[in-house]
Amino acid sequence: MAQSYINDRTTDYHSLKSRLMGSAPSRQRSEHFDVLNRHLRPGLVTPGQLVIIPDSHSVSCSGEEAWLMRHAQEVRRHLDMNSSTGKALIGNYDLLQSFMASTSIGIGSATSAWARHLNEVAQTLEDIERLHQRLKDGALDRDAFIQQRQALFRRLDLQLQGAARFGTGLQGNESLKKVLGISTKSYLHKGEIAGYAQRIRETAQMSKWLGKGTYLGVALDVGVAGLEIKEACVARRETQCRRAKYVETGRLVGAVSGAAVGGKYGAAFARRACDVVLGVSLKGNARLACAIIGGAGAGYVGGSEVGDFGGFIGGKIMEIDGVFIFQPEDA
Amino acid sequence: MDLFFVYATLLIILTFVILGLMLFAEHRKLEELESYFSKNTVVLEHKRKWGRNHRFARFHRMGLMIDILSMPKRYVKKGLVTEAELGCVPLALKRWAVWPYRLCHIWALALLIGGVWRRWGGIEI
Repeated sequence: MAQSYINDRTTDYHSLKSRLMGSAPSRQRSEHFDVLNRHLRPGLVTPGQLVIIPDSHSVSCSGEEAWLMRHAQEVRRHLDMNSSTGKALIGNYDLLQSFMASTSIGIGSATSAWARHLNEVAQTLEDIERLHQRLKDGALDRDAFIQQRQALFRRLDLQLQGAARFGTGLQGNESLKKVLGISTKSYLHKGEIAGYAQRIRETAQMSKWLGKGTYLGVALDVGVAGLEIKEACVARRETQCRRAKYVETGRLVGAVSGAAVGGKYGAAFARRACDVVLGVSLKGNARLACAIIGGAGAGYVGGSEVGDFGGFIGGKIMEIDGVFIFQPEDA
Repeated sequence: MDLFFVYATLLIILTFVILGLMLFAEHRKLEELESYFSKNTVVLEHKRKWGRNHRFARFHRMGLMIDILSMPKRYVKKGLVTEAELGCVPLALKRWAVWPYRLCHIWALALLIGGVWRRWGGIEI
Protein backbone atom coordinates (compact mmCIF):
# COMPACT_ATOMS: atom_id res chain seq x y z
CA MET A 1 0.00 0.00 0.00
CA ALA A 2 1.54 3.31 -1.08
CA GLN A 3 2.08 5.97 1.51
CA SER A 4 2.39 9.70 1.35
CA TYR A 5 4.55 12.17 3.18
CA ILE A 6 4.43 15.91 3.57
CA ASN A 7 7.82 17.47 3.05
CA ASP A 8 8.62 19.71 5.99
CA ARG A 9 11.66 21.64 4.72
CA THR A 10 13.35 22.72 1.53
CA THR A 11 15.49 19.85 0.39
CA ASP A 12 16.91 18.49 -2.85
CA TYR A 13 15.02 15.73 -4.58
CA HIS A 14 17.76 13.11 -4.33
CA SER A 15 18.32 13.58 -0.58
CA LEU A 16 14.60 13.34 -0.03
CA LYS A 17 14.42 10.22 -2.15
CA SER A 18 17.26 8.48 -0.36
CA ARG A 19 15.80 9.50 3.02
CA LEU A 20 12.44 7.98 2.21
CA MET A 21 13.52 5.01 0.09
CA GLY A 22 16.72 4.04 1.85
CA SER A 23 20.19 4.51 0.42
CA ALA A 24 20.13 1.75 -2.18
CA PRO A 25 16.69 1.02 -3.61
CA SER A 26 16.46 -1.30 -6.59
CA ARG A 27 16.47 0.36 -9.98
CA GLN A 28 12.84 -0.53 -10.56
CA ARG A 29 11.71 0.88 -7.23
CA SER A 30 13.77 3.98 -7.79
CA GLU A 31 12.12 4.53 -11.19
CA HIS A 32 8.73 3.85 -9.71
CA PHE A 33 9.36 6.56 -7.11
CA ASP A 34 10.30 8.98 -9.89
CA VAL A 35 7.12 8.21 -11.82
CA LEU A 36 4.93 8.69 -8.76
CA ASN A 37 6.63 11.93 -7.86
CA ARG A 38 6.90 13.57 -11.23
CA HIS A 39 4.92 16.50 -9.84
CA LEU A 40 7.96 17.48 -7.76
CA ARG A 41 10.22 20.04 -9.40
CA PRO A 42 13.62 18.84 -10.45
CA GLY A 43 16.15 20.17 -7.96
CA LEU A 44 14.75 21.52 -4.74
CA VAL A 45 11.53 20.25 -3.18
CA THR A 46 9.73 22.97 -1.26
CA PRO A 47 8.01 22.55 2.12
CA GLY A 48 4.41 21.42 2.00
CA GLN A 49 4.80 19.21 -1.10
CA LEU A 50 3.19 15.79 -0.98
CA VAL A 51 5.68 13.00 -1.63
CA ILE A 52 4.40 9.55 -2.59
CA ILE A 53 6.28 6.52 -1.35
CA PRO A 54 5.59 3.28 -3.26
CA ASP A 55 5.14 0.13 -1.27
CA SER A 56 8.03 -2.28 -1.06
CA HIS A 57 6.70 -4.86 -3.57
CA SER A 58 4.84 -3.10 -6.31
CA VAL A 59 6.61 -1.63 -9.31
CA SER A 60 3.53 -0.69 -11.33
CA CYS A 61 1.04 2.07 -10.55
CA SER A 62 -2.03 1.07 -8.58
CA GLY A 63 -5.35 2.92 -8.47
CA GLU A 64 -4.50 4.16 -5.05
CA GLU A 65 -1.23 5.62 -6.26
CA ALA A 66 -3.03 7.37 -9.08
CA TRP A 67 -5.41 8.82 -6.51
CA LEU A 68 -2.48 10.06 -4.43
CA MET A 69 -0.84 11.53 -7.52
CA ARG A 70 -3.94 13.52 -8.33
CA HIS A 71 -3.94 15.00 -4.83
CA ALA A 72 -0.22 15.65 -4.96
CA GLN A 73 -0.74 17.58 -8.19
CA GLU A 74 -3.47 19.61 -6.57
CA VAL A 75 -1.27 20.43 -3.61
CA ARG A 76 1.55 21.42 -5.91
CA ARG A 77 -0.70 23.64 -8.03
CA HIS A 78 -1.82 25.45 -4.92
CA LEU A 79 1.69 25.85 -3.58
CA ASP A 80 2.80 27.23 -6.94
CA MET A 81 0.16 29.91 -6.70
CA ASN A 82 1.61 31.08 -3.43
CA SER A 83 5.12 29.86 -2.75
CA SER A 84 5.07 30.99 0.88
CA THR A 85 2.03 28.91 1.70
CA GLY A 86 3.82 25.61 2.20
CA LYS A 87 6.27 27.13 4.58
CA ALA A 88 3.44 28.94 6.32
CA LEU A 89 1.63 25.66 6.72
CA ILE A 90 4.62 23.85 8.12
CA GLY A 91 5.63 26.72 10.35
CA ASN A 92 2.07 27.61 11.18
CA TYR A 93 1.96 26.48 14.75
CA ASP A 94 5.35 27.81 15.74
CA LEU A 95 4.57 31.02 13.96
CA LEU A 96 1.28 31.43 15.73
CA GLN A 97 2.86 30.58 19.04
CA SER A 98 5.51 33.24 18.61
CA PHE A 99 2.81 35.75 17.72
CA MET A 100 0.97 34.81 20.86
CA ALA A 101 4.02 35.67 22.89
CA SER A 102 5.19 38.76 21.10
CA THR A 103 2.10 40.61 20.02
CA SER A 104 1.07 41.29 23.57
CA ILE A 105 3.58 44.10 23.61
CA GLY A 106 1.69 47.36 23.53
CA ILE A 107 -1.20 46.20 21.46
CA GLY A 108 -1.23 42.66 22.78
CA SER A 109 -3.48 39.85 21.78
CA ALA A 110 -5.46 37.28 23.60
CA THR A 111 -5.53 33.95 21.97
CA SER A 112 -7.25 31.91 24.59
CA ALA A 113 -9.43 30.28 21.98
CA TRP A 114 -6.37 29.29 20.03
CA ALA A 115 -4.58 27.98 23.12
CA ARG A 116 -7.57 25.84 23.95
CA HIS A 117 -7.65 24.52 20.43
CA LEU A 118 -3.99 23.58 20.63
CA ASN A 119 -4.56 21.78 23.88
CA GLU A 120 -7.15 19.69 22.12
CA VAL A 121 -4.78 18.89 19.30
CA ALA A 122 -2.10 17.91 21.78
CA GLN A 123 -4.60 15.62 23.49
CA THR A 124 -5.34 13.83 20.23
CA LEU A 125 -1.65 13.46 19.56
CA GLU A 126 -1.11 11.93 22.95
CA ASP A 127 -3.89 9.49 22.18
CA ILE A 128 -2.15 8.54 18.95
CA GLU A 129 1.10 8.03 20.80
CA ARG A 130 -0.60 5.90 23.42
CA LEU A 131 -2.20 3.82 20.69
CA HIS A 132 1.21 3.16 19.12
CA GLN A 133 2.54 2.23 22.54
CA ARG A 134 -0.28 -0.25 23.07
CA LEU A 135 0.45 -1.86 19.69
CA LYS A 136 4.14 -2.12 20.59
CA ASP A 137 3.30 -3.70 23.93
CA GLY A 138 1.07 -6.22 22.20
CA ALA A 139 -2.06 -5.04 23.98
CA LEU A 140 -3.78 -4.36 20.67
CA ASP A 141 -4.08 -6.34 17.43
CA ARG A 142 -3.16 -4.71 14.14
CA ASP A 143 -6.71 -4.40 12.75
CA ALA A 144 -8.01 -2.71 15.88
CA PHE A 145 -4.95 -0.46 15.88
CA ILE A 146 -5.53 0.69 12.29
CA GLN A 147 -9.21 1.27 12.92
CA GLN A 148 -8.59 3.30 16.06
CA ARG A 149 -5.76 5.26 14.54
CA GLN A 150 -7.91 6.18 11.56
CA ALA A 151 -10.54 7.50 13.94
CA LEU A 152 -7.90 9.56 15.74
CA PHE A 153 -6.50 10.85 12.46
CA ARG A 154 -9.98 11.90 11.43
CA ARG A 155 -10.31 13.77 14.71
CA LEU A 156 -6.94 15.41 14.21
CA ASP A 157 -7.92 16.32 10.70
CA LEU A 158 -11.04 18.07 11.93
CA GLN A 159 -9.13 19.84 14.65
CA LEU A 160 -6.56 21.11 12.22
CA GLN A 161 -9.16 22.34 9.78
CA GLY A 162 -11.05 24.50 12.21
CA ALA A 163 -9.88 26.16 15.38
CA ALA A 164 -13.16 25.74 17.11
CA ARG A 165 -14.34 23.92 20.21
CA PHE A 166 -15.19 26.05 23.16
CA GLY A 167 -15.34 25.00 26.76
CA THR A 168 -13.62 21.66 26.38
CA GLY A 169 -11.57 22.31 29.48
CA LEU A 170 -8.70 20.25 28.08
CA GLN A 171 -5.44 21.14 29.71
CA GLY A 172 -1.94 20.49 28.54
CA ASN A 173 1.41 22.10 28.01
CA GLU A 174 2.45 20.22 24.94
CA SER A 175 5.01 21.90 22.81
CA LEU A 176 3.83 23.01 19.42
CA LYS A 177 6.78 21.26 17.91
CA LYS A 178 5.15 18.06 18.97
CA VAL A 179 2.09 18.99 16.97
CA LEU A 180 4.33 19.82 14.07
CA GLY A 181 6.21 16.57 14.42
CA ILE A 182 3.14 14.44 14.10
CA SER A 183 1.44 16.41 11.40
CA THR A 184 4.40 16.65 9.08
CA LYS A 185 6.86 13.91 9.81
CA SER A 186 4.47 11.05 10.11
CA TYR A 187 3.23 9.07 7.20
CA LEU A 188 -0.33 9.87 6.50
CA HIS A 189 -3.19 7.67 5.59
CA LYS A 190 -5.32 8.09 2.55
CA GLY A 191 -8.21 9.52 4.55
CA GLU A 192 -6.16 12.51 5.60
CA ILE A 193 -4.87 13.50 2.22
CA ALA A 194 -8.16 14.80 0.90
CA GLY A 195 -8.29 17.30 3.71
CA TYR A 196 -4.71 18.37 3.22
CA ALA A 197 -5.31 20.50 0.16
CA GLN A 198 -8.22 22.14 1.93
CA ARG A 199 -6.03 22.82 4.97
CA ILE A 200 -3.45 24.51 2.79
CA ARG A 201 -6.09 26.84 1.45
CA GLU A 202 -7.28 27.75 4.93
CA THR A 203 -3.76 28.29 6.19
CA ALA A 204 -2.97 30.39 3.15
CA GLN A 205 -5.95 32.54 3.98
CA MET A 206 -4.82 32.84 7.57
CA SER A 207 -1.24 33.69 6.68
CA LYS A 208 -2.59 36.31 4.31
CA TRP A 209 -4.40 37.96 7.22
CA LEU A 210 -1.32 37.67 9.35
CA GLY A 211 0.89 39.19 6.71
CA LYS A 212 -1.18 42.33 6.50
CA GLY A 213 -0.53 45.29 8.71
CA THR A 214 1.31 45.42 11.96
CA TYR A 215 -1.53 44.33 14.18
CA LEU A 216 -0.78 40.67 13.85
CA GLY A 217 -2.31 39.78 17.16
CA VAL A 218 -5.55 41.45 16.21
CA ALA A 219 -5.54 39.62 12.90
CA LEU A 220 -4.95 36.35 14.66
CA ASP A 221 -7.82 36.93 17.01
CA VAL A 222 -10.06 37.89 14.13
CA GLY A 223 -8.97 34.72 12.36
CA VAL A 224 -9.66 32.55 15.37
CA ALA A 225 -13.02 34.18 16.01
CA GLY A 226 -13.87 33.78 12.34
CA LEU A 227 -12.98 30.11 12.37
CA GLU A 228 -14.99 29.51 15.53
CA ILE A 229 -18.03 31.08 13.95
CA LYS A 230 -17.45 29.39 10.61
CA GLU A 231 -17.22 25.95 12.09
CA ALA A 232 -20.41 26.33 14.07
CA CYS A 233 -22.21 27.72 11.02
CA VAL A 234 -20.85 25.24 8.48
CA ALA A 235 -22.27 22.39 10.53
CA ARG A 236 -25.72 23.95 10.07
CA ARG A 237 -26.31 24.17 13.76
CA GLU A 238 -28.50 27.26 13.88
CA THR A 239 -28.35 27.92 17.59
CA GLN A 240 -24.63 27.31 17.97
CA CYS A 241 -23.95 29.36 14.87
CA ARG A 242 -25.89 32.33 16.17
CA ARG A 243 -24.40 31.96 19.62
CA ALA A 244 -20.87 31.65 18.19
CA LYS A 245 -21.31 34.92 16.33
CA TYR A 246 -22.11 36.76 19.53
CA VAL A 247 -19.71 34.95 21.85
CA GLU A 248 -16.72 35.12 19.52
CA THR A 249 -17.36 38.70 18.47
CA GLY A 250 -17.67 39.70 22.13
CA ARG A 251 -14.54 37.77 22.96
CA LEU A 252 -12.64 39.39 20.11
CA VAL A 253 -13.63 42.92 21.11
CA GLY A 254 -12.83 42.22 24.76
CA ALA A 255 -9.55 40.48 23.99
CA VAL A 256 -8.15 43.19 21.75
CA SER A 257 -9.08 46.10 24.05
CA GLY A 258 -8.06 44.19 27.18
CA ALA A 259 -4.72 43.24 25.69
CA ALA A 260 -4.08 46.82 24.61
CA VAL A 261 -4.81 48.24 28.07
CA GLY A 262 -3.00 45.38 29.80
CA GLY A 263 0.03 45.78 27.55
CA LYS A 264 0.38 49.49 28.21
CA TYR A 265 -0.25 49.14 31.89
CA GLY A 266 2.08 46.17 32.27
CA ALA A 267 4.87 47.98 30.44
CA ALA A 268 4.55 51.07 32.64
CA PHE A 269 4.29 49.00 35.80
CA ALA A 270 7.27 46.79 34.95
CA ARG A 271 9.41 49.79 34.01
CA ARG A 272 8.71 51.39 37.34
CA ALA A 273 9.31 48.14 39.24
CA CYS A 274 12.65 47.66 37.50
CA ASP A 275 13.61 51.23 38.31
CA VAL A 276 12.64 51.05 41.99
CA VAL A 277 13.54 47.46 42.80
CA LEU A 278 16.45 46.75 40.48
CA GLY A 279 17.70 50.30 40.04
CA VAL A 280 17.66 50.01 36.26
CA SER A 281 18.82 53.25 34.67
CA LEU A 282 16.91 55.22 32.09
CA LYS A 283 19.57 54.55 29.53
CA GLY A 284 20.29 51.20 28.02
CA ASN A 285 18.10 48.35 26.94
CA ALA A 286 17.29 46.95 30.38
CA ARG A 287 14.46 49.44 30.78
CA LEU A 288 13.07 48.49 27.40
CA ALA A 289 13.39 44.80 28.26
CA CYS A 290 11.42 45.39 31.46
CA ALA A 291 8.71 47.18 29.48
CA ILE A 292 8.54 44.39 26.92
CA ILE A 293 8.32 41.62 29.51
CA GLY A 294 5.75 43.50 31.59
CA GLY A 295 3.77 44.52 28.53
CA ALA A 296 3.74 41.04 27.07
CA GLY A 297 2.69 39.37 30.30
CA ALA A 298 0.02 41.86 31.29
CA GLY A 299 -1.17 42.12 27.70
CA TYR A 300 -1.71 38.39 27.56
CA VAL A 301 -3.49 38.20 30.90
CA GLY A 302 -5.57 41.32 30.20
CA GLY A 303 -6.54 40.12 26.76
CA SER A 304 -7.38 36.64 27.88
CA GLU A 305 -9.47 37.73 30.88
CA VAL A 306 -11.29 40.64 29.26
CA GLY A 307 -11.81 38.43 26.22
CA ASP A 308 -13.65 35.95 28.42
CA PHE A 309 -15.79 38.74 29.85
CA GLY A 310 -16.51 39.93 26.32
CA GLY A 311 -17.48 36.40 25.34
CA PHE A 312 -19.75 36.17 28.36
CA ILE A 313 -21.52 39.42 27.45
CA GLY A 314 -21.76 38.32 23.82
CA GLY A 315 -23.39 35.09 24.92
CA LYS A 316 -25.99 36.99 26.87
CA ILE A 317 -26.95 39.17 23.99
CA MET A 318 -29.00 37.69 21.19
CA GLU A 319 -30.42 39.38 18.17
CA ILE A 320 -34.02 38.69 17.31
CA ASP A 321 -35.55 40.42 14.33
CA GLY A 322 -32.87 43.07 14.41
CA VAL A 323 -33.58 43.99 18.02
CA PHE A 324 -31.04 43.32 20.73
CA ILE A 325 -32.43 41.69 23.81
CA PHE A 326 -30.85 40.13 26.83
CA GLN A 327 -30.96 36.39 26.83
CA PRO A 328 -32.70 34.97 29.91
CA GLU A 329 -30.46 33.06 32.33
CA ASP A 330 -32.06 29.67 31.61
CA ALA A 331 -32.38 30.02 27.83
CA MET B 1 -30.21 40.47 34.60
CA ASP B 2 -27.68 38.94 36.96
CA LEU B 3 -25.04 40.77 38.93
CA PHE B 4 -22.11 39.20 37.14
CA PHE B 5 -23.42 40.40 33.80
CA VAL B 6 -23.60 43.97 35.14
CA TYR B 7 -20.10 43.61 36.55
CA ALA B 8 -18.73 42.27 33.26
CA THR B 9 -20.37 45.10 31.32
CA LEU B 10 -18.93 47.74 33.64
CA LEU B 11 -15.51 46.13 33.34
CA ILE B 12 -15.65 46.21 29.55
CA ILE B 13 -16.80 49.85 29.62
CA LEU B 14 -13.94 50.71 31.99
CA THR B 15 -11.52 48.99 29.60
CA PHE B 16 -12.73 51.12 26.69
CA VAL B 17 -12.64 54.32 28.75
CA ILE B 18 -9.07 53.69 29.88
CA LEU B 19 -7.96 52.73 26.38
CA GLY B 20 -9.57 55.86 24.97
CA LEU B 21 -7.87 58.07 27.57
CA MET B 22 -4.50 56.44 26.94
CA LEU B 23 -4.71 56.81 23.18
CA PHE B 24 -5.97 60.38 23.43
CA ALA B 25 -3.11 61.36 25.74
CA GLU B 26 -0.56 59.64 23.50
CA HIS B 27 -1.79 61.35 20.36
CA ARG B 28 -2.86 64.77 21.58
CA LYS B 29 -0.90 65.55 24.72
CA LEU B 30 2.54 64.04 24.18
CA GLU B 31 4.14 66.91 22.24
CA GLU B 32 2.74 69.46 24.68
CA LEU B 33 4.17 67.49 27.60
CA GLU B 34 7.55 67.10 25.95
CA SER B 35 7.69 70.81 25.19
CA TYR B 36 8.06 71.52 28.93
CA PHE B 37 11.23 69.42 28.90
CA SER B 38 12.67 70.89 25.71
CA LYS B 39 16.08 71.49 27.31
CA ASN B 40 16.22 68.24 29.25
CA THR B 41 18.92 65.94 27.87
CA VAL B 42 17.24 62.73 29.02
CA VAL B 43 13.97 63.62 27.32
CA LEU B 44 15.73 64.87 24.19
CA GLU B 45 17.85 61.75 23.95
CA HIS B 46 14.80 59.55 24.44
CA LYS B 47 12.90 61.50 21.82
CA ARG B 48 15.78 61.15 19.40
CA LYS B 49 15.92 57.42 20.04
CA TRP B 50 12.20 56.95 19.51
CA GLY B 51 11.91 59.89 17.18
CA ARG B 52 9.72 58.42 14.49
CA ASN B 53 6.09 59.23 14.77
CA HIS B 54 5.26 55.55 14.92
CA ARG B 55 2.67 54.24 17.35
CA PHE B 56 5.21 52.26 19.34
CA ALA B 57 7.59 55.22 19.41
CA ARG B 58 4.87 57.43 20.86
CA PHE B 59 4.04 54.73 23.37
CA HIS B 60 7.65 54.65 24.62
CA ARG B 61 7.99 58.42 24.61
CA MET B 62 4.81 58.70 26.63
CA GLY B 63 6.19 56.05 28.96
CA LEU B 64 9.07 58.32 29.93
CA MET B 65 6.70 61.20 30.59
CA ILE B 66 4.58 58.97 32.82
CA ASP B 67 7.64 57.77 34.72
CA ILE B 68 8.90 61.28 35.32
CA LEU B 69 5.53 62.68 36.34
CA SER B 70 4.51 59.77 38.55
CA MET B 71 7.84 59.57 40.43
CA PRO B 72 9.04 63.19 40.28
CA LYS B 73 11.07 63.15 43.50
CA ARG B 74 13.04 60.11 42.41
CA TYR B 75 13.95 61.71 39.10
CA VAL B 76 14.89 65.00 40.72
CA LYS B 77 17.06 63.14 43.22
CA LYS B 78 18.81 61.32 40.39
CA GLY B 79 19.41 64.66 38.73
CA LEU B 80 17.55 63.67 35.58
CA VAL B 81 14.99 66.48 35.77
CA THR B 82 14.82 69.72 37.72
CA GLU B 83 12.06 70.92 40.01
CA ALA B 84 11.74 73.98 37.82
CA GLU B 85 10.95 71.82 34.78
CA LEU B 86 8.40 69.82 36.74
CA GLY B 87 6.85 72.96 38.20
CA CYS B 88 6.19 74.33 34.73
CA VAL B 89 3.95 71.43 33.69
CA PRO B 90 0.26 72.38 34.22
CA LEU B 91 -1.61 70.14 36.61
CA ALA B 92 -4.30 69.30 34.03
CA LEU B 93 -1.64 68.12 31.59
CA LYS B 94 0.02 66.02 34.27
CA ARG B 95 -3.30 64.35 34.92
CA TRP B 96 -3.67 63.38 31.27
CA ALA B 97 -0.43 61.46 31.51
CA VAL B 98 -0.77 59.94 34.95
CA TRP B 99 -4.45 59.30 35.55
CA PRO B 100 -5.13 56.67 32.90
CA TYR B 101 -2.45 54.55 34.53
CA ARG B 102 -3.85 55.17 37.98
CA LEU B 103 -7.22 54.03 36.68
CA CYS B 104 -5.44 50.91 35.49
CA HIS B 105 -4.80 49.94 39.12
CA ILE B 106 -8.58 49.88 39.63
CA TRP B 107 -9.01 48.03 36.33
CA ALA B 108 -6.46 45.38 37.31
CA LEU B 109 -8.12 44.92 40.69
CA ALA B 110 -11.55 44.69 39.06
CA LEU B 111 -10.19 42.13 36.61
CA LEU B 112 -8.75 40.07 39.43
CA ILE B 113 -12.02 40.17 41.37
CA GLY B 114 -13.99 39.30 38.23
CA GLY B 115 -11.65 36.42 37.44
CA VAL B 116 -11.93 34.97 40.93
CA TRP B 117 -15.71 35.46 40.92
CA ARG B 118 -16.04 33.73 37.56
CA ARG B 119 -13.93 30.75 38.54
CA TRP B 120 -15.19 30.26 42.05
CA GLY B 121 -18.76 30.93 41.03
CA GLY B 122 -18.46 28.37 38.23
CA ILE B 123 -19.79 30.88 35.69
CA GLU B 124 -19.64 29.47 32.16
CA ILE B 125 -18.57 31.70 29.31
